[in-house]
Amino acid sequence: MNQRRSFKRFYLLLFLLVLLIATAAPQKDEKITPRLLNVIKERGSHGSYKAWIYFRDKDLYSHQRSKEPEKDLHLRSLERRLRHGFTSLMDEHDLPVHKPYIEIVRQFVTKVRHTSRWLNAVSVEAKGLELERIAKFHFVQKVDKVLVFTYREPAPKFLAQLDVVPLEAKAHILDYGPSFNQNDQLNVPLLHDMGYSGKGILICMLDSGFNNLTHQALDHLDIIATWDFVNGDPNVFDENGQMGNGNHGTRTLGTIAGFEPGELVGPAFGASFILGKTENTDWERHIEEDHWIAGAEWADSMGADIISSSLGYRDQFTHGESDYFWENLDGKTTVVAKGANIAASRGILIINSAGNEGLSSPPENTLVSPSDSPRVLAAGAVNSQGDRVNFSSTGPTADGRIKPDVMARGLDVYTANPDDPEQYDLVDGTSFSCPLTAGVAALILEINPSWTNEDVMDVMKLTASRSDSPDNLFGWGILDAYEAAFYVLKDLHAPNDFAIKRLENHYGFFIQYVDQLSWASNPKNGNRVQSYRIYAKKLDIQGRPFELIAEVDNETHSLIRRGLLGDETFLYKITSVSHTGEESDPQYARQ
Amino acid sequence: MDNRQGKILLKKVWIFILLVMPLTQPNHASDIALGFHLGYRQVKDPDLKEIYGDGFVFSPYVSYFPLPHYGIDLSYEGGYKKDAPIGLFDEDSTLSVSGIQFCGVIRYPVWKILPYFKFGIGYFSYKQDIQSEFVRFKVDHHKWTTIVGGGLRVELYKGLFLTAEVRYVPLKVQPFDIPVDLGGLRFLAGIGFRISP
Repeated sequence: MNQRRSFKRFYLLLFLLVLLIATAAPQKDEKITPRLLNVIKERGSHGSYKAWIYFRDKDLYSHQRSKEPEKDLHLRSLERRLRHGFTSLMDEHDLPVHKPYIEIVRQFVTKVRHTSRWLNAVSVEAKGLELERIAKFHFVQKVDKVLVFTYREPAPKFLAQLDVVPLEAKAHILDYGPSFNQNDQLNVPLLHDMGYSGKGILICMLDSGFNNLTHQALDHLDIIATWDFVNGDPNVFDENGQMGNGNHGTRTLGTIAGFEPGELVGPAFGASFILGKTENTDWERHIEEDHWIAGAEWADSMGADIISSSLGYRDQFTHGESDYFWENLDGKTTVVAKGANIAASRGILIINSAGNEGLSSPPENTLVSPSDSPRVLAAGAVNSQGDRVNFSSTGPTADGRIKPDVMARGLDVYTANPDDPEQYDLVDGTSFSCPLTAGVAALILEINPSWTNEDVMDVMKLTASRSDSPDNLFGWGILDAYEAAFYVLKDLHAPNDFAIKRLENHYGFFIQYVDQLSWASNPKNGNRVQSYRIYAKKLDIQGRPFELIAEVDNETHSLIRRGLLGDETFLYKITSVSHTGEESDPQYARQ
Repeated sequence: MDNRQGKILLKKVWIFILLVMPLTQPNHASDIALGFHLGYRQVKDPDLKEIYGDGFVFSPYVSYFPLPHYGIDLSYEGGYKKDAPIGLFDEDSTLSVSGIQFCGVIRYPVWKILPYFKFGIGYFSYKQDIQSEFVRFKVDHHKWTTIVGGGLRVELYKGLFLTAEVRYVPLKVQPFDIPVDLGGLRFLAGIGFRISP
């Protein structure tokens, strides 16, 4: 009798538990994002879709937490983290995705494209019906579209406008040939003369594939690993029957590391490389965000110091709808920006092309993601005279930070030809400003191996040509590799993410403006910061000095300036001040 | 004759009838009257309406009819003074609008009711006070405008009368960058006293 009663109680409890779970778990429609739901409604449940499946957790099996992550991480990766002062070499992002979750999902989908431990997600190809089923699982947090983008790229041209090699080129040890100006503009030859070439630095190139690696300017390269994230094999060159076109990657690789004296010398010709094919450029330049995330995770696990990513995500084109607008480019919204932020938090220095979308009118921007991230150095394009090229994308970011960060040559860049092992191309685009910038970063890291990724970013900006008056067209200006490499870093650092939002204050008969400044404390400063000093310089007259407008305590991370008129625009700078009165280098913001 | 010409002609006929009709009617004694209107005014500008809203106005006036059906009146409109928080920081502010109006009046008696129509000019001042050290503009301006209105006057007893009037005052102003429409309809009721025979 008692046994029957306890059985009844057990079943009642079980029923209540099931009921609780069923009611507590969000419905499938709540888990599928509206943009994916709309597409499924439009194209039908039997259509095939590329989707992210985000999981709720990854820590059900403790043995995975304790043992598996190290397996995936190369020793170099752990060394890089040590160099960046990680107190714990692993964190939640390093834990692998829970395998049983992947296996359950795998049964419902056509293909698992990528697994991301950073996002705790898998990207899949599946029918709408299958996605709806998957969304019902309690361990699924969200199902979202894998976004597909276009990336505009100026076409390569005939070799008709080669730079005239000036006499001073002879003063350097290396014969740069037609590539002299693109190096000299960044003050690279001085470092080459001193024997630096990026040796010991591992650079991950994420691009559309890499043809003609036997080119005379590329055959010296120390290529440690390659992976094709589009087709899932180690071959990063074009293959019959496979998606992609690898010419772009050959040109960016040639720009950063080509070495054929008298023809082409890249700034980091002595560096080591891993090459990831993360773009499917079969038709136009269609790129998918999950390949980039997979490539960045691979770069982390291989121990890359630098990621040079000559691609970016902006205009979504599949089915005509637009998912990302300029308002989303705030450095934390797009999937690739999230991935880049995690990569940067692991000590990887990420250089990304700013984009080839031309001018914008602030507060709008024409950036591509992840160049909108504060943890990514966005490279814009200048010509041989140092003038901004009109296609080079402009800031500010949607949250009011200055972008691009730095400038390098992006017009008539001399590089390796992807078809002929002895020929060269002139190419245009911030895609080529990016590897030139990454090459400079490699030289700086080689000379300063103890510097963190943020240190390198800071000095590259602080020593660039417009470092005392950055703006949203040029950023901090054209890089100076020599100055940056030998810059004396201060112990105290400027606060992070200094941003400005200009707000309209509407009084009915007239409008005044409010500048809302915000910043975040820099963890590298520990508790050494006593206060922050905020300076402003009115931009109406050239040469006007900065004036101290406020000094606030270290708990304050925002400042509001009221009563401004529409034509009163300011360049703001902020510094950290220590208890001993030491002041850090500045960080800037302007609308 | 096309439709447009027909409408113009019809309009002219109506104006003619309105002007001539009082002359053709039996004589009515001329008068001087003093009165007081109280009522409600609208604010046409959507932004200011949202901030300050519509409000009450008062309007003392004196009217003089040298001819039985034609006269003038002089009035003052005041009372619209509204407090409201304004801007991003909800700063205390006050908007006040007042004005002097001078109108020509045509009236036409129908039994004990005296309908009238008025048209004239007004000189309005508008002022916005914002309690903020950051505000760099001061709204304290004036503007001439036109006035149109009409109403009914009902004689009560020994010169005492009641009125109901609807008046429209257009008042588009732009003291600074933003054009603002301070105009709006007035719905007024009042009492008055005829002091001459």
